[in-house]
Amino acid sequence: MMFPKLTGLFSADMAIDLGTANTLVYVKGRGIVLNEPSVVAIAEEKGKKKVLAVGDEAKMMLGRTPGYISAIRPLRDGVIADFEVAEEMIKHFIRKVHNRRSFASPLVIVCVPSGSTAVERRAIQESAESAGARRVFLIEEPMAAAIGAGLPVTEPTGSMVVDIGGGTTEVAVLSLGGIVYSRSVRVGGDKMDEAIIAYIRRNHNLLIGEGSAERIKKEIGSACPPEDGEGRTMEIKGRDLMNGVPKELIVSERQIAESLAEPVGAIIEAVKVALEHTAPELAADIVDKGIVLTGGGALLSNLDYVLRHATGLPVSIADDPLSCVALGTGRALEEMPKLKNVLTSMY
Amino acid sequence: MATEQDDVIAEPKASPPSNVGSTLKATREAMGKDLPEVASQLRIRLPYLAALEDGRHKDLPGGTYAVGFLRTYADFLGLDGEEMVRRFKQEAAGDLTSRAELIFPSPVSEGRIPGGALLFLGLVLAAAAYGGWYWLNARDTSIAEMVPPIPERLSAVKAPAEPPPAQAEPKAEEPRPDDAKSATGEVVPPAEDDDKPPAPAADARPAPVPVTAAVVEAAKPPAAPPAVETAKAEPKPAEADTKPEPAMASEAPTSAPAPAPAPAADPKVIGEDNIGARIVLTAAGDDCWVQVREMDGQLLLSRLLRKGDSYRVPDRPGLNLMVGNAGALEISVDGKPVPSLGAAGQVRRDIKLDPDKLTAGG
Repeated sequence: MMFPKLTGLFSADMAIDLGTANTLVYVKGRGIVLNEPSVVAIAEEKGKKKVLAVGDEAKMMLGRTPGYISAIRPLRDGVIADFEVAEEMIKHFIRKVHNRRSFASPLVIVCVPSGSTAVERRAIQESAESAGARRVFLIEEPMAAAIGAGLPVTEPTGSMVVDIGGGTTEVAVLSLGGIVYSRSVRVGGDKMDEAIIAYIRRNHNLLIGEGSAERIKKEIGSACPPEDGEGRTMEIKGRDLMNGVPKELIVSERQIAESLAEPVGAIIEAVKVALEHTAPELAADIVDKGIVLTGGGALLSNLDYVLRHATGLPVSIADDPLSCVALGTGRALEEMPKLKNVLTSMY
Repeated sequence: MATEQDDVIAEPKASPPSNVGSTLKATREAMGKDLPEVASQLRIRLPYLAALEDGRHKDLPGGTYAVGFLRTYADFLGLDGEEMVRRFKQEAAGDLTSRAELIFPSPVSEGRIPGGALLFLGLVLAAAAYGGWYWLNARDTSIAEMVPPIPERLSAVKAPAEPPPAQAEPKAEEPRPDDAKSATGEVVPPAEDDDKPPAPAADARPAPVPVTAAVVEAAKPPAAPPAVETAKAEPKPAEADTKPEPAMASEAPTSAPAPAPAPAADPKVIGEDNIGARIVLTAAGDDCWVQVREMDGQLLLSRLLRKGDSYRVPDRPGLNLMVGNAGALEISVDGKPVPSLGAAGQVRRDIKLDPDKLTAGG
């Protein structure tokens, strides 16, 4: 207990997986120390905006706030949507993790979606810098995910990783320490939640919140309908659109699978396109070893089954898919001199 | 389905030693499926499934993939995937490295010499260049200043013991004695021919060299060398031999070192062959180092005059004197002493050896 604290005094460098849904912080020598939703609650007092809560606490407020409080998710589709709030959030997390007694400001590695534009990357880098980082490096998400999943990315053999995050799905083929092909589609957990909300509103005239949709997805969400019957069922609560009163409803796994068909189809499409663009030698390697799924989306049941049947390739889920990216970014931090060439900086 | 699963879960408990592979195999056989069928359904290649069942960890692809295959397979069979993975990791702890070593391919260096070595080489070259330049610049003076004193010191070392110098001298100047001997027969005549030494010798010798004085007086120039020989035994021949040479070279410096080995105790005269020397430098008070240069900087004499030694300065204009102990040096012009150049121990440079000036007082 003493030792990590002691080393923490000297090395507070950190790796941040700045995700749309969750932000994970990995501190050098200590591992993942923080895993909280990327939500910030801001209170407005006399025209002045103040951060009320960040993370789990703020998430509880999401969709339940009075007029003077707004719970905001500063990231959308894997990139910063609200610059100021994102900065506040990063600042909060760094402060929470960083040892205030050490004078040196930390070196920070942040991961960015491979499909993000230069402007979006610059926004992420700048907000990390103004949040108190001494130096900021960026790492592409698929590379971080592959390293975190333990794939042999530096060997001359193709590895395919599909990282399904909250905002984006990253499909990438890696070999010899670099990304050979990558494709980023803005479909992820959020789009699944939206699809569930839309489906229930359309078919049951019931309006549910994002939080409820996420819960449904986690409990009975499936990428394909069960072979027979309705599958698992779940009680959901929301507001009836017809008469405006709160209502309770039971949805089944089959219904949810139906609602998720569109986002799941988009993911499958992205994987297929990526496979189409893969060089034959790498394709041969991928046929042999298959695709590895990481990210929260990998936990959607039967997604591997659907992908397996759509692509005809072996599909496996990485250990601890939720923290793959953070672990990979953390490893890049730990082995900085060796993994220097996967890190970039906007200036 | 449910009963099957119950059986499956019961099985490993019933047979604890069974490992992951055999559990998989037993479950698959209980379900009545054969391996190719499973492989085609899971899209996992048959060899890998077989390796999983047989526990051949070496034949499986890297850690992540092996674990992924196992999880897929276990889930397909209705087993607890995570539990199987945990057990599998325990079994294959040695064979599987879940944390693959990442070594990024880096470009081969372009065969340049490393910076450090290059820098060192540059420094060495610069030092060598500077050294060479310095040496070239300093050579003339250094040789002039360094070389002459050596025979002086040697003589100083050798002087006390007479026999050794005697032996050493002939050896050192072996060619000369030979030349001399062949010449000695003629030495007298050449000396006569030269006719240069006689007059000065006659003048100068009496004062510093008492022994030779008599001889010199008696036997004039021609006899001088032989007389010296007789008087001073061995070493003298050297002196005698050298004389003809300097005479030919008409250079004092060359003759200067030769007489040096002569007994230090006896005062001697250097530059005896400088006929008509008006100025004579004598180390009267103490040993005194003198250097005489020509107008163009050429070295004429650079040596230590032992107490009593004297040097007859060639009668040429533009000679420059440098003296290490001005007080000890006595200068006479045309036999008359002139005012001393300075106090004892004082170093004086650039004194014009001009008789009139010296008489007037330096």
